[in-house]
Amino acid sequence: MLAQFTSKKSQRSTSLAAVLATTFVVLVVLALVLASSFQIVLNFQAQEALEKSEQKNIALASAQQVSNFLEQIFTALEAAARVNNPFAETAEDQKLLLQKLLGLEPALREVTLLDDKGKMITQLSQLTTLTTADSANQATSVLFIQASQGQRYISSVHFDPTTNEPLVTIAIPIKNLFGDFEGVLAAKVNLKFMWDLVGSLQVGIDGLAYVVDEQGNLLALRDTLRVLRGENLSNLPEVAAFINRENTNPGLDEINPFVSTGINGNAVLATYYPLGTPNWAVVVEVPVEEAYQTPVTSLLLSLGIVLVVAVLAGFAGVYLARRVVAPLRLLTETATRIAGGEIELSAPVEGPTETSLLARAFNSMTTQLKELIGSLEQRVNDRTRRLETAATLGKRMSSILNLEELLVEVVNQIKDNFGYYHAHIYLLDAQQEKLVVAEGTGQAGAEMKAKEHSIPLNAPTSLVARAVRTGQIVKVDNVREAPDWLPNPLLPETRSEMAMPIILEGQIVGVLDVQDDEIAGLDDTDANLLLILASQVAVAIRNAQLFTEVEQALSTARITQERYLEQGWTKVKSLKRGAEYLHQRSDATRLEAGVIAALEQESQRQNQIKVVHSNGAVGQPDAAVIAPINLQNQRIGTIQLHKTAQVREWNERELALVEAVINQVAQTAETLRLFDETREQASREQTIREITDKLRSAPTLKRLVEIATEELRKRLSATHAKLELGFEVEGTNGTS
Amino acid sequence: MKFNKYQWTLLFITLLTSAGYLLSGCAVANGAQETTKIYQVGLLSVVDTLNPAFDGFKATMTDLGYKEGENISYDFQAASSSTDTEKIEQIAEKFVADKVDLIVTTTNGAAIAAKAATADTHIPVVFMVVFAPIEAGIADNVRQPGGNVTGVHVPLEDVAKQLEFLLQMAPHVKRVWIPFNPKYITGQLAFIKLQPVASALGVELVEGHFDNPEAVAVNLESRGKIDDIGFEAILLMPEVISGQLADWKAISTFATEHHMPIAANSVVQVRDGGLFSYTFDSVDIGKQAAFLADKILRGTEAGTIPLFPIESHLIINYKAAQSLGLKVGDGLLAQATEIIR
Repeated sequence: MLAQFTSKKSQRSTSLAAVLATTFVVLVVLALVLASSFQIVLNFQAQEALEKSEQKNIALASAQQVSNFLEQIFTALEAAARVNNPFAETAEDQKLLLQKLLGLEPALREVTLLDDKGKMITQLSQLTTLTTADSANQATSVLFIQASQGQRYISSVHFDPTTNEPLVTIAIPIKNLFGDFEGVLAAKVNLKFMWDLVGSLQVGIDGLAYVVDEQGNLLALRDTLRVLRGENLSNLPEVAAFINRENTNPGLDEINPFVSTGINGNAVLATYYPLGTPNWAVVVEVPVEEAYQTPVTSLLLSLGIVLVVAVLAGFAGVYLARRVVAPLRLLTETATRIAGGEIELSAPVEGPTETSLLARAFNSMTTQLKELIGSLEQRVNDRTRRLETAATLGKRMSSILNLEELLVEVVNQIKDNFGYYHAHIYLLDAQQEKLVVAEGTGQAGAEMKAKEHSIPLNAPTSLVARAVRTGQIVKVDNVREAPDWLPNPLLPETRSEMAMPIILEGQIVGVLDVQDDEIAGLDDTDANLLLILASQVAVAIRNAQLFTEVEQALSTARITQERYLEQGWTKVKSLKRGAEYLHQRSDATRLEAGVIAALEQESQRQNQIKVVHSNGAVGQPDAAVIAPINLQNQRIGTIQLHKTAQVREWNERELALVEAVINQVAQTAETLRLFDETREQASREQTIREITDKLRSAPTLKRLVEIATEELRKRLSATHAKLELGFEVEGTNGTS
Repeated sequence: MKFNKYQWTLLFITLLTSAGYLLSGCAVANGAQETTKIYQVGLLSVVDTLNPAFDGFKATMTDLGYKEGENISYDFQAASSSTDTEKIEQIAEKFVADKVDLIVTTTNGAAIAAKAATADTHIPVVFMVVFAPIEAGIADNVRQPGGNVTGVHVPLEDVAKQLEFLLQMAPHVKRVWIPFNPKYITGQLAFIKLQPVASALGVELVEGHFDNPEAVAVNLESRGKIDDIGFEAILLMPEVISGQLADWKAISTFATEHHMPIAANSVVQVRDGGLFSYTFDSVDIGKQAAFLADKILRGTEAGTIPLFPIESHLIINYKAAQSLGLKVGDGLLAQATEIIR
């Protein structure tokens, strides 16, 4: 699980080069974006303000041109009236004056001269004058009233019903040299002649200007057809702003262009500028994309720069990151190869200072690591050898069941294999009061064992006694400085000592004590080793003890068996149930009974088959084989075979045959004896069962007594039997 | 140099962004390319004295970006006479059969024929030099003519002003000969406009009704043989009987022979001996018609485009006046936009 986690974590890990490059790019782009953002915003605001200011100036200039158009007509009328006082001239002169005016100013569709009473004196038109008779008297008209007050007059816009051209009527007062009001010069102005003027206004590249009246009616536009269509633009925000303005004549600062919907339905930056008199306005609009082209171009340029710099930063970041990381990669590769076993490698010391220092430190670490690995390998080898020795020793100990032999082996092996100065084992006595040397190495060990050297458990100056008392290992690096160390004159070179309790089934049974002739010659490794050995010794001691106990039990069982056999065959013998067979070949010389008896006695004395030669007497067998018949070391009979006819030696095969046969005889005889014994036992139990059955059938106590007595009498062939149950109470006779 | 996964990702993003910029640039460039369509425009001429209108039309169309042979093609067809209605209708039907994109005409008769021929089609018609289009049934109203027509119209009231100018230059005239084809609506309407003015000015209008130009020549020839011709001046209205140059020649020759002023109705006529003209500039009409055509070709319905009014200008042939012994006052000269000396 930990390995999986580590593996997954390593899979998700990012290379240092990538992190450095990414960080570099992010920081550069972030810095650029932040700096550019401020610059872009400031540039955008400046450009926007500049564009709006320019548009207001255009609107102002356009308004002035449109005003000049009307002013020019007013000026023409006023100049004509001033230079040639119409009322000082003849009718022909008046007509000529008006004709000149019409010729001078094409926008004038009609010119009318009124006297001081508002009566039409002369009228001249581009069209026929015969249709304007209804304007003969203007005395009550606003035109005349306003002009008679010495003011210019300009009417609202009206459209020609035939051509739908926008028209406006203007009028000026006519005064004599004394300033007295003498009449009015009025004219109808065709605003169509303003179209070219408005159409020629240059507003940016795709911008345009148009003129609307106070009701939003379109008066002039480059696209004259829309004027002819009679469009009303009051729905446009910029026109509505003009119509609904609070200040009739706002200053330039009070007018702010804003983004709106233009006359062509597109998004525009629009503004208006009122003419004042008449109450018209010039509306100027520039498409948003054109108005904001400069700031947008600046924005795109800045973004492009950011992008290019980001790309360059990316490559620079990658290059720098790789340059920084390259020595680290070499170092990593070296470390990987070292980890793979190439421990003699060293990292190249190159690159920046930090990585060079790292490489040096790494090489130093590698050197130390090599030394450490060498030391560790030595220690591991030592430990392995010790463990192998301990294992071998343990294995050997487990095979030694003799305690004394075991202890000798243990101390000697420990001393020899582990290079200790001395090793010995103390065992607790039966009273658990003192430790007695059970075995020790060398002469010192032998002498101590011979002297039955012992240490009381409560001895204050004994490390082994302390080990038993505390149940813990006692380790003394310098025994000369240990207050509870008692010098042993037999071991003068002892400098350090370690006493390990031998614990068997929770009980301390002794102490394994080792000594070294160097100060601090015994370390934790020795302690661990001794702990293992002490455990193995404890087990070995236990095994030896168990083996002894088992041997004793077996001996007892064997004796019991032998006694049983002896009793059994003694019984056979006493009951004369034994068997004997004597065979003498008829053609052979008969043996004396005494010879047979003598050889029988001889064979009973022998423990094994034996060939007995004759003593040379006439008629004596030349060689006889005598052999006891033993059953589990119990003599149950003898056998003797004689050869008397000719001199002949018993060969080995014959003797082996004899021995095999007598063994079989012994076994079979025992079987038969056991069979007889068993059969006898069975017969007895049968008898008991039969008697018992009869006893159980007895209906009365008297009958019971009779049956029991009679059965026993019969079966035991008794001549007299009496069985009495119960005892007569004094004065009472029993039944017989 | 070997890139790892992150470096590849960085490079990929960079290239993707650059490609986006390039593609957006290409898209803009491609967007600027439009499929080049060659517009087929049928030009229907009826009166050759008005042909300068077509010249003005084509010149302005060129200025507006319609290059002949590149994106526009003109099919100029002319009828021999305004009275040749059959020929006019044939030309109009030809344009319809050719499925032209636009028909441009002069005169009321041609406009009417073109409107009729395209009635069941979506072919727009732009007319030039049309008088009283509402009364003539060519357009519904000035602001929105309706149907598939629009154009440049001339105020018919100018004919009354023409009579006023004639009498101001030739106050001795008491009878003015007005030749026209009474079957042609423009002549009818113009004459109606003249009558109250003549009455107010105390001058008699001598009507000359003709079905064709040849009849005019015959009439003048017969008039020339008698002592009292019957009129002291000639006024040509905007109608068909005197529109062709050949027809004009017959009238102008007669007037010259009899020292008689002619109130002409075209620039061509005044330059060719007419006393004056108070009429439109044909080239200017063509120019205004071109603006209408441009709107139509850009997708605007013809019937929604207002009719464009054209101004009349006073052109005085001072040389002719002197030869006739007429005195033209300073007032009139001041009103004239051109004085021929």
